[in-house]
Amino acid sequence: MNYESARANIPSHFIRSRPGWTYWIRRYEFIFVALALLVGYALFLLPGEDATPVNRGVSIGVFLLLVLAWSANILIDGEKSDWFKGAVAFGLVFVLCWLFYKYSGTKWDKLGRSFFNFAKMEGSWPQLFKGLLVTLQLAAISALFSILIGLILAVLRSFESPTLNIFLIAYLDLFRSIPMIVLMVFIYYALPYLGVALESVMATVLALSLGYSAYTAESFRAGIESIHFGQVEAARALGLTRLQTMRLVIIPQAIKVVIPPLTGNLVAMLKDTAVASVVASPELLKRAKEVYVGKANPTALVAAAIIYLIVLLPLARLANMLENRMKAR
Amino acid sequence: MNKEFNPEVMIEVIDLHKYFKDLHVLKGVSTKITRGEVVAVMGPSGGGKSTFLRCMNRLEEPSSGKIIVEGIDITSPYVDINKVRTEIGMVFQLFNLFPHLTAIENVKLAPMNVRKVSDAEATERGLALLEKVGLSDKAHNYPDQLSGGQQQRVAIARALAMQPQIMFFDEPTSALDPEMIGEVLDVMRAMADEGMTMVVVSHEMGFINEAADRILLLAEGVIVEEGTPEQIFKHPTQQRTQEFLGKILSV
Amino acid sequence: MSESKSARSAILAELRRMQHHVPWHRRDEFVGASLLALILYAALLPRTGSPSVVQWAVIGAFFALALAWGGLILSDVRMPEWVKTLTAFVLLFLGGWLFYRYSDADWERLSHVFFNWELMKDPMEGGATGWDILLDGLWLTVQIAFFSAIFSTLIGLLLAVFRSFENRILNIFIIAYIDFFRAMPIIVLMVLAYYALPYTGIVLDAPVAGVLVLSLNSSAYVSEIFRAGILSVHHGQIEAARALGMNPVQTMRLVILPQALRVVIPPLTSNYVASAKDTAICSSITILELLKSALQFQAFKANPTAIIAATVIYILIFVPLTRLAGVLEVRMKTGRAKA
Repeated sequence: MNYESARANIPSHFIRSRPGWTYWIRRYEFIFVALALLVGYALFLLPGEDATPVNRGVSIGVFLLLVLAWSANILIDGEKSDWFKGAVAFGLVFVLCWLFYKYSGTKWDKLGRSFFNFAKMEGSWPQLFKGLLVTLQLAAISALFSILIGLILAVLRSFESPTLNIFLIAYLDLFRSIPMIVLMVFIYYALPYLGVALESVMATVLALSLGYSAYTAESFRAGIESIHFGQVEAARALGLTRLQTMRLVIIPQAIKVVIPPLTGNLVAMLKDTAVASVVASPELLKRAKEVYVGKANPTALVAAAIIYLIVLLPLARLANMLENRMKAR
Repeated sequence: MNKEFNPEVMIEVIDLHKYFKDLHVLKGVSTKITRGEVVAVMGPSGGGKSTFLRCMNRLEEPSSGKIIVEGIDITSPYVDINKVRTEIGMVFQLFNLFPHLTAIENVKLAPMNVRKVSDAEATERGLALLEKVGLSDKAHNYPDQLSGGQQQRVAIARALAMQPQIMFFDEPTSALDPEMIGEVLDVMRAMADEGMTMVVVSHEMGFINEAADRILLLAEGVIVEEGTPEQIFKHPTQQRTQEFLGKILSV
Repeated sequence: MSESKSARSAILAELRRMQHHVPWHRRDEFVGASLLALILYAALLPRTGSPSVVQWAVIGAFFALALAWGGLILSDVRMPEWVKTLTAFVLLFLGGWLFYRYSDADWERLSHVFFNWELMKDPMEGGATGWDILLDGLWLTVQIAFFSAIFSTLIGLLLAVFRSFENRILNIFIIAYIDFFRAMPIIVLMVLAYYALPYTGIVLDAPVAGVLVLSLNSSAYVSEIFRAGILSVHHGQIEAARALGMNPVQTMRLVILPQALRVVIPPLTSNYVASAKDTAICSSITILELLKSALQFQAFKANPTAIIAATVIYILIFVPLTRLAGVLEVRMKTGRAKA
């Protein structure tokens, strides 16, 4: 069978018979005609405020689907240039926002007054920043305690005593399984009945320290185990005791390995301080809620959210980068 | 029960057995290491050579049997093994230098923390040892800045810093490039000439032929044959020995 | 001056001499005798009730001696492991028993407060007992966890596929999304969704808001997991598939995703378990899941038994789940090594 007849047996739309031939739906002519049609639809066929809900829904829905299909067609095409696709992506987002703006019934001026009413916030900023300070302090102190406890637990674990391990593993299982909010609620609401009444900040620090000590213990254990066992043998062969080996050889090296996961823990802990608002800790979220209630305006909540973003985004990025760099090694 | 301690017998191994889970690795090994002797341990891999060496300073726990080091039964439960280990220096196949310390710090660590030697004196002795192994100019380099041969020589200096009476070598040159094997063997030869008691697990025929006083052939967990290099290499009596030698020497 | 040779020989001679010597405190006779002495001591302890200062000293000394004896057993290398475990538990019970006997806590009342099963069975208005309320809350928790798992998986998968196009513009959006949800605390988003969003005209039911926030937050992590899974498929396979004539969609569907799935299951399981734990946060926006139900009962009846019960339920559910997720992750690591 020669090449020509073989080609003849293949369905024609599989063959790119002419140089520069493109599947019809991918051709620029089609794309721009479709774009023109979509613009026309937008200008003339989209309903106004007065149409019935069903009509509106159907009409907008169809428009949305067509726009998505048109965009997808371009975005998937491997032959279109990146910046063309970028323009299409932006345009798509723009259209989606515009649709939302047009049809969501939101009173946009009222929105500004609700969410970004910084005038109303006058005098409340100090309160918010005091909350931020408390958040940072809570996280710092709890981080310190959780690292100390975690280190001790990891060293105890390295003794590999089956008896000791029973208790250690029970502790680790307990504090890794219990949700942080449950732990805080338990300490703050239930313990007082036992005579142990902790005020909110102490309860928060206790809950965070204990809860995260399980994770730091695991991080330290991974760090300790990452040290090549031959070094332990060399140290023991020299006559160093187990504790000396741990102190002089293992821990100095483990610290480098352990910093990425500990940073991740710190970020998670900062996020969990917001949960402490449930047990009346005067941290950022609680303060924001107070302002929200006091001024009947949610700007404070939005402001608090932005503050969280500003603090946590770079930290989360940093933690992620550190973890990736370590995995690459 | 307390036999008269013979100071000439550095190590006595009596019917040593070692199990790894169900695997019977050492099946009743007995031998004596006398002062000043250089003993080479040879045999096929998996035969138990490294395990045998490591049992003698209890890096591996013997399953049964007795090991008496300088008159001290280290298999007895209440013995302070750390003190005994200061009398035995060990050099490993993978060097096992501490990467976060420089060469001189590696050498100083044990004397300062175990024998409580002062910093000044430990540094002085450490530099002298590094000089002896030919690396005094690398004292402040980190292990990852040194070649394999240099690292191994630092490891030897580190072991010598504790002034041990016996030196163990667990395949010291197996992880080295051929050019560097010579420098390490030179150091070992010098030590043998000075009269150090050495137990060496190795495949280096040349070195063993020259420096060893006695060879133990360990295969399948038992000592198949022992004798001087002359006896083993030229007139092996056991078939297993001949098999083993045949495989190595034909390479 | 450091140890001289003679000093070291002296040390060795000492070790030699003492090597078979059993220290007096390890001798079986001593251990047995001191145990009997301790039991006798226990029989002579003061009566139940609040002790005076002198009596406290006596009790304290007893406990200290008991701990010392226990320490002796635990540090003895000759003792079999089961003896040590038994000793540890006995010490624990001893401490608890001493506390019970002498702490002057009204134990009757305490049980009435903490483990008041009667109260839990006692119907509230509307006929529901405490247990009913908790079970309803648990059911809601399960539903929220289930739906947020499904939605987050769908969204996450979609994002990962989009990311695999490696379109720079698209990636900017996706990475911004992931960064945002990794940085924002879930509770802040829930508060925003429930309290602030109505000001835009979007009023969400509390459970819907909860599921929405949980899904979006989890989807960021899910997309990263899927992306790692997709990347883990060796590039050579993709090349082989394309060389065979498969288009990108087929390659994704038939070659990449099936293999990525195996890599992806352990971290996904961890993620689902973590997400399920996060359902407890929904309690802060008035969703009647398990924790909130317990809190309501506690507020209504001024009794913390419900909280204790809820905590126990959380522990009973999540300890096995967390264990399972951990086992899967370990198996994946060791499995890969073999392959």
